[in-house]
Amino acid sequence: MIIYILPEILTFLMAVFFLLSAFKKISMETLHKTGMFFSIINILIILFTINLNGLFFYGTYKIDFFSQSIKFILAVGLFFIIFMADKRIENTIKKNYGEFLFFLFSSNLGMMMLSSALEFITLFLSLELSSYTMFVLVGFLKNKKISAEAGIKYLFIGAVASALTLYGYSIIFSYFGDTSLQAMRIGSMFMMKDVILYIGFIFFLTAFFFKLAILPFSFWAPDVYQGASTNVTAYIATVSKVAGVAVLLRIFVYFFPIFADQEKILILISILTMTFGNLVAVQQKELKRLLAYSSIAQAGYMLVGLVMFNKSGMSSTLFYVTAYLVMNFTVFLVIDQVEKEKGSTELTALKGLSQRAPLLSLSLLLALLSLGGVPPFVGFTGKWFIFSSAINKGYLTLVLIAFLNSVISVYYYLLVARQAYLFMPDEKEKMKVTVPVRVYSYFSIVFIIVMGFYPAPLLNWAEKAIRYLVG
Amino acid sequence: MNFPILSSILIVPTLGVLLILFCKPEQKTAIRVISVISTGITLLLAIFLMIAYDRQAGGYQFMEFIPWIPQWGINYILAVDGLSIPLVFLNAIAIFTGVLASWYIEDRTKEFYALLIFLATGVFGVFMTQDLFFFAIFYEVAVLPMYLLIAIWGSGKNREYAAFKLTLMLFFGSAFVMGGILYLYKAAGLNTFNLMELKRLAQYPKEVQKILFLLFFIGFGSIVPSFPMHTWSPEGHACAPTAVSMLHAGVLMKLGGYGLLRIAIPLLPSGLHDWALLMMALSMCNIVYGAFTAIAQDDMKFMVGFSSVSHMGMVLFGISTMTLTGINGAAFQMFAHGLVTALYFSSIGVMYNKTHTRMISELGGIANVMPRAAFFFAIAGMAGLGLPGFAPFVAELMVFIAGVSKYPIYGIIAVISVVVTAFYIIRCIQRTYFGETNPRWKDMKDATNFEVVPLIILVIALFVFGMYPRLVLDLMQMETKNIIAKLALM
Repeated sequence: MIIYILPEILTFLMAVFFLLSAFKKISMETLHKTGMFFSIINILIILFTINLNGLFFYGTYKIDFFSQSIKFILAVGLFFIIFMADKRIENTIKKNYGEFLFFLFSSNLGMMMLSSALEFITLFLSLELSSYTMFVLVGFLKNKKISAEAGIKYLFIGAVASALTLYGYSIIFSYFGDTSLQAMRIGSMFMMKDVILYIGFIFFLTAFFFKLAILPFSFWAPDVYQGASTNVTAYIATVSKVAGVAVLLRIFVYFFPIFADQEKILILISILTMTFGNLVAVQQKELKRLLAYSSIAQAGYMLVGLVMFNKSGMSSTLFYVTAYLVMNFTVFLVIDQVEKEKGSTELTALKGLSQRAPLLSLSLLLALLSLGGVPPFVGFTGKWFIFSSAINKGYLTLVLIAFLNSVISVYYYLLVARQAYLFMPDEKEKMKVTVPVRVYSYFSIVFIIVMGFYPAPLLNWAEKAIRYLVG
Repeated sequence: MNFPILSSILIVPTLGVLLILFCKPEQKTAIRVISVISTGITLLLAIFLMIAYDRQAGGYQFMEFIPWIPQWGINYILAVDGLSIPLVFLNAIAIFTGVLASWYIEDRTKEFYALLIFLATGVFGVFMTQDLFFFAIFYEVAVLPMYLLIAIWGSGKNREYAAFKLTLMLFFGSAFVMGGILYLYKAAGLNTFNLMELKRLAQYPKEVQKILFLLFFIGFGSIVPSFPMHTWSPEGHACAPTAVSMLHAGVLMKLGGYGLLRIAIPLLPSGLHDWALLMMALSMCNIVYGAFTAIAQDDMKFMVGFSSVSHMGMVLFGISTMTLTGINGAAFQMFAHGLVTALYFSSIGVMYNKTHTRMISELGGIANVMPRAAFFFAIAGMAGLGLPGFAPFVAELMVFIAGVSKYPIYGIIAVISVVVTAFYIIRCIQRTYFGETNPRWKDMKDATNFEVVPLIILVIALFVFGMYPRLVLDLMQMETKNIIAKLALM
């Protein structure tokens, strides 16, 4: 049994290791290397366990291809984040690097458990584990007012969302009298449905919508994205989204009969979310705020796939969110590199990037266009799959609105790319780009183009995962 | 398996782009040479395609089929028929001459050529693929690099605005195309994006056809460009660098007409019946309004831009007649107009590189100092206004014959627009190239031998296809006959 949950155990031990390291004077660079090393081990171990199947702890914890795939993506995401947080990171984080890694790893642990949890209490605890560590991470830059403000905001809104979820759950519990998702799944098929139960489920979704930044619960995003250190923002914008999608997939699969009745409402929410995100993003002058709104819009697209309640919709969403991790992380990596050099995340900080760092700006351009859903990049293919599954259910209007939305998003993504390509830089010398960053840039360029043109491997993987999830 | 000639038409320029990306920005000659070689090879392949196509057999030939994503019914299918071969050839000739015509570009040469050839590759893809998924991909690839090409290398203060307008309006249109394609897929219920299968098997109810055709009409109409979605086009042409204008007006605008003829009309014939009157009305706006607006222009590129709007209106007008002559004329007009505008823009570009202005009011007597540039613009003008002996004459004649017999009154109005065209073209030639030489241009040097090469290629093509239009018409007719057969069934 140990072997099944080895990734979780190891992550936990690693987190503890970093917590203890805070008491010793270990240099930040050593810790950085150790963190990278650990996360690579983590990735390998998860790969090793990827085909295992099992149900543990009295049916509360499920190991299967779906959960292990999600864990794999999470671990890769964690590796990206740690590799991004190199020695040029903010001083506050540098001084407390051990703690920083502790929070990152424990948040990752929470998300890993989230993808396996099959029982409400486990689900909720792992959700809180991943959220609370993130509240700390957001406010990590103690001496920056804006970061502290972001941390507090994130905490309050997150706490309210959790509370609402608990409230919703308490209603649901009164109907089922059980905390096991499996039992509730069977129950919900035969249950008489009334308004109170639906209300309970709507409240129940709050915390998960909060995590994905879906409309009524998305107002934290701009402030948090802007206030947090760019590394943390990248973590929230990429890894945390994957976890959010994974858990929503699980919930939608298990309560399919109940949510399927409310399809129209959920579709309305997704339309509002993407339209709101896109329209507001157009106005932004600060990169991280712009990306915050863009990520709200992207959550809207993902929700479209999720609420189709069929295998093709779900696998396309999984495909999309994986691609989204790479695209969005690329954008954040470039922003981070620029921020480290210029100390600014205004749009104008990117000015002339194509002259100073051609590779970085090429990867930025491709990632932005891909986010905007322009072919032949992976973002387009992902959207294409999501929208095909929507159209298969006959939602032509929804698909048209979504495509028009991506036209709006192309506008503001081009506003960003324009800074990099249309203007000449103020500085003469080339930007220094480290070797790992170069390697990552090449990787992302290849990934974005190849997966856009030949998505079959990634799609097949996503479909396999969904088959296991649906069971 | 035979030599995959169609894939090579895609792969050769792609390899060219990759090689260019690996060049250093300073190696400008190497970059240019790579571009010329890769586009030259594609041109040869395209010519080979035209010769090797079996005209007796007709139908789809040179087919390549690779299952791509079976569960979604997506296959990598390349095949050409009579409708696409002339357009592939047109694109090959436009990109080849475009590369030659942009030899002067010194600023960020590497990126320019990479983007230009990338764009042309997308256009090739659109003309050759028979799978709707790949159609969608290539369709937007053909639009996307325009933004950077116009915004970085364009001319005029407004270039960024023009670039944004062009990109967003085209993407706006393509949003409808994407939605339409997905709905085609769903409504057929065959779980395939294979266009040939859909044409053979799919049955769409009349109501569905009505909605879908409108979607495609909005989508493809905005790239044709049909009135009121035409506003991006003159502005985009005017601000774009020479080669981009050539490709853009020469080929990119044909994607719209091609999309209608390839996807919308064969699959949704009753949709065309429903919307033909609207199409006709809008195309009249194009023809008449475009011609009259062209009179008012001072910038030569704007003038040509509006004349393009007017001439592309002929394509829509031809389609809306729903007769064999009309649709043949429309298809041939796409081809002919492509050659003419490429010649227009390249000859204007040759002159603009020296004078740095295109304002008719500032120019004058250019023929005295730059006889070559003047000669080629005059030829383009003559061809453009429909002088017999050049390709557009044949095309316009066919459209008018069909137009007058189907919609007598509007057909006659359309014919009258030819007079307007003649008026603004001849006036422009007279004011720009003849008359007294403006002292400002006394010391201008004429176009070099090298600069003339692309112009000569285009003139030869115009002349050959004008004297012997059956070279293309016969090819196109094989496919248009099928379209007419579908339309007649309704």
